[in-house]
Amino acid sequence: MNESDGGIELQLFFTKKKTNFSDVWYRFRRNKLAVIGLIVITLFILVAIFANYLMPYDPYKIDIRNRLKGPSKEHWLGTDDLGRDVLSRLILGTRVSLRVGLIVVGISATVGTIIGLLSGYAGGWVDNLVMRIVDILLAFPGILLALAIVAILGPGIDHVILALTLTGWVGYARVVRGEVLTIKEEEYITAAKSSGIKKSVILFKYILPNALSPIIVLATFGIAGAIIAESSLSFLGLGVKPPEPSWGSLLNVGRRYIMVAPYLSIFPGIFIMVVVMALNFIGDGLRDALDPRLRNK
Amino acid sequence: MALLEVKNLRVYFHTREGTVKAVDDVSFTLEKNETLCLVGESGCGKSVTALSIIGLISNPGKIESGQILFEGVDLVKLKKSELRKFRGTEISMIFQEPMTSLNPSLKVGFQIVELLLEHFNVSKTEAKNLAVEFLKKVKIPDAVGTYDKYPHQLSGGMRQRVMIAMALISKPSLLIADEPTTALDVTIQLQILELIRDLKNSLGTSVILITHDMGVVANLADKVAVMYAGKIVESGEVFEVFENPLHPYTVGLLGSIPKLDTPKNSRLISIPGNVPRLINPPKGCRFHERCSRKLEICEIAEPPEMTIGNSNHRIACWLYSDEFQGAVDTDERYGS
Repeated sequence: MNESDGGIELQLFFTKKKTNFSDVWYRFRRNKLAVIGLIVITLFILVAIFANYLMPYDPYKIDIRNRLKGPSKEHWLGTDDLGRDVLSRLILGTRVSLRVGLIVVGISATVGTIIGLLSGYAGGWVDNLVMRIVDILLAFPGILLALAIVAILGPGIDHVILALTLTGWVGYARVVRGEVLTIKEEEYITAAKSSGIKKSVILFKYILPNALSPIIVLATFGIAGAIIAESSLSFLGLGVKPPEPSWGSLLNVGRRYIMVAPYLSIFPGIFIMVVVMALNFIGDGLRDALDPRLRNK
Repeated sequence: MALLEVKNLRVYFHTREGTVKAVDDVSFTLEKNETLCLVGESGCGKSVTALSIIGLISNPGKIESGQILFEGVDLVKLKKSELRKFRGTEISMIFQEPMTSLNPSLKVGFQIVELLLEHFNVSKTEAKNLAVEFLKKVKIPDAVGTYDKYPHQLSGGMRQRVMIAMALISKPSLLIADEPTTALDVTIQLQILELIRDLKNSLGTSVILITHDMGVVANLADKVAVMYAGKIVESGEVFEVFENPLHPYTVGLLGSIPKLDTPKNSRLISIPGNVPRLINPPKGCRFHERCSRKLEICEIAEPPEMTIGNSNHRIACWLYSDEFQGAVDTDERYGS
């Protein structure tokens, strides 16, 4: 192989590597906070997956003699009012919190995106109707509506997920619909239509991928929002059923002993704060990385 | 039978301010393997004519009346789903802006393959091979590499080549090119035009080319139709129209191009004024406000369309009407 062949091959190698994804990853990587956020979230996800192996004690084991003991060598984060190990309960609670966050965002982003796509693309009275429904739902504070739904259905983690999903999709629908309105006027959509591409294909292969960036960003923030919402509902006693722990319910328990054992509320608070901040950093980083105006920088 | 016959096409846009008569009583025919150029200033209805052929007039626009006979089938009467079968197979379109005419989030190869899978019964491998073959046909160097590229990795000229490949891959009978070279620089323009001409000849496609560049017309066209304010004012064989332009508007358009033999110090002719707003077009001949040879009748009545001599040279202007033959002399006496 002579020199010029190698040159061409090398060039091909480089052009091939430079896809959209690697562009985004390159820009994302330069945002230190976002990378830290990503590492933190990865750690928490690992904790949630391997919770069973990481918990130093049985999170349900009651030990009244050792109740409300502060952080010590045996119990790193202390014990609660029934003498249960706080660290173990927080680790198990990670599972609940992340699960709620991911499921709520997964469902509401999917549903919201599809509704937004159809509404924006159809236009006319369909769009009007859907957007008025969205307006109505947005007019209520989401948490209040979720509260009402859970109050009707009764407490429980599934009901929390349902309630948060029912109020969560509207944000996505609105954003996606706005994106669709701009994208459907683009010339490549006219070009696709003029070459006889089916409506469904235009919708999902031409419009959706180009509307994806804001959805991804919104979803990242959405997970943080859902975790806080679950914590709030659990804090109010409408979330997980005791004795199952979630970060919000642990906070709720801590509230009662805040004068004698403040660490009971401080640690769950720190967990929530760290995860929510990490997710927000990721969201910020993704937003910058996906912004087409910054593409060539 | 002509490949395409547009008869008395009227396309109106119903806006809040009023009805815009973007295309008003336009008729023309296109034979097989023929190139027709639609020329005229911006906003005179060229693009709307093209879009109505391919059925892409959307709200608030509407085809009010007329026929678009494509191989004898009236496209105006077809249902959307039936019309879709013509798009991309029998009739293809190239757009003005190669920068925005490709889906930025899909690789160009995928977009071509998609088109093939949509319309033809081919396997993915066959489609891919065909796509690469056509990328070679539109003279893209490194066709295989380009297949895997995203639009933003290609230059404007390359993207327009991809668009042409997409438009011609189904070997359509009719190609509509809406100012395909306007957004490109001059050297690339020529290459693209030559490419369109070569492929047209090798595939036997008829072409409707929309442009306001008379140079392009001279290069490519067999026939030319000059549009003004939603109407065709003059049409005919390209040599006939260029040699013997009759309508004052055509004369103005041709006079506004510098030629090699134009004397050094002479001024180029420009047509004063702008294209009238089509919500409330001028009465009579729509060009009368800007016409240097206006007659009284021009302000009152629409000029009839007539054929000059025994050629296909058609014109809509009072100057050449029998009843007003005398008027031309009067006009010349006063000097224009």
